Amino acid sequence: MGAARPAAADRLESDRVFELMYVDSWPRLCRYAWVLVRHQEDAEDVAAETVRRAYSAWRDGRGPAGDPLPWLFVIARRIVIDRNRRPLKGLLSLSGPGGDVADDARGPDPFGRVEAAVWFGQLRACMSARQHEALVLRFLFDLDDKQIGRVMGLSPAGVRSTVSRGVAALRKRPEVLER
Amino acid sequence: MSVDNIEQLLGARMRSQAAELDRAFRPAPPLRMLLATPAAASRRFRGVARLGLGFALAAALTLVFLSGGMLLGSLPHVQPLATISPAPVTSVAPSHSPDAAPATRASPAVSPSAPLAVGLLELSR
Repeated sequence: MGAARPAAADRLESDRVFELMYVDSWPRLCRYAWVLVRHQEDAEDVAAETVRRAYSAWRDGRGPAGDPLPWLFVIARRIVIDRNRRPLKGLLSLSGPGGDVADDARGPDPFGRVEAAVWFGQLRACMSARQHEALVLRFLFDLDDKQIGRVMGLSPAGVRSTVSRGVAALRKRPEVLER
Repeated sequence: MSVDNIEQLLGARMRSQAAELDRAFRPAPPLRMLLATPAAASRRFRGVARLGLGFALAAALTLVFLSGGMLLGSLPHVQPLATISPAPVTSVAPSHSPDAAPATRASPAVSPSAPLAVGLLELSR
């Protein structure tokens, strides 16, 4: 009985820490999920599912070793990949990572008319989906090579190469940055 | 435009655009609510549920058709009217057998009690 109370208190404290981390990460998590799926509602679904899985892992003592953001991004990326592997993906509405056209099944992205979404779409059109993702992780989320590599399953050298190729592609379309 | 300049411009532009995106996303729901909402309630799952419901409905209809077919198969076979050939019909003409005299009004059969009645009539006179 005496040991149960500290255990319960520890659990409450652990939940509180997780909630702080979750609330702090939520906008960036939604943003990253949107970069992957290109659809606002799908992105929020992916972000919510990410938090559920992260919480389960957290309770099992499998929380992040350092910065929680790359850890959450890894989970979100796996969710998107898993969903895209399903045979009925066309009916179930998620596009592939970096897919830039919303599926007919899920309707247009509610962000379609948001200027920022249009701009990210133009940026995405300049380069491959992986280069776009690497640039977003580097310049929007300020992750280093090792963290980006962990999220995308690349070596740090692979990350540097992908980022430099994305920047090179952007150099050919400087008007994207000038708009 | 140097590479460094491009990277700085890209970072600045991304961050300014991301702020606009963030305003469009719904705020973080309370953790308890998010955890209490099963994945089943997500928009995606509703699509799956609709799909499953469609399959279940199709399966139920198939069962209904199959069971209907089996029921029809278990009934005695009814031959269509058009294919029924007329059965041999026995003649309806009166038979003239020697034992049975034709009962016609023109020649009524004499009742066995007729002579008795005639006798009684004569006695009453």
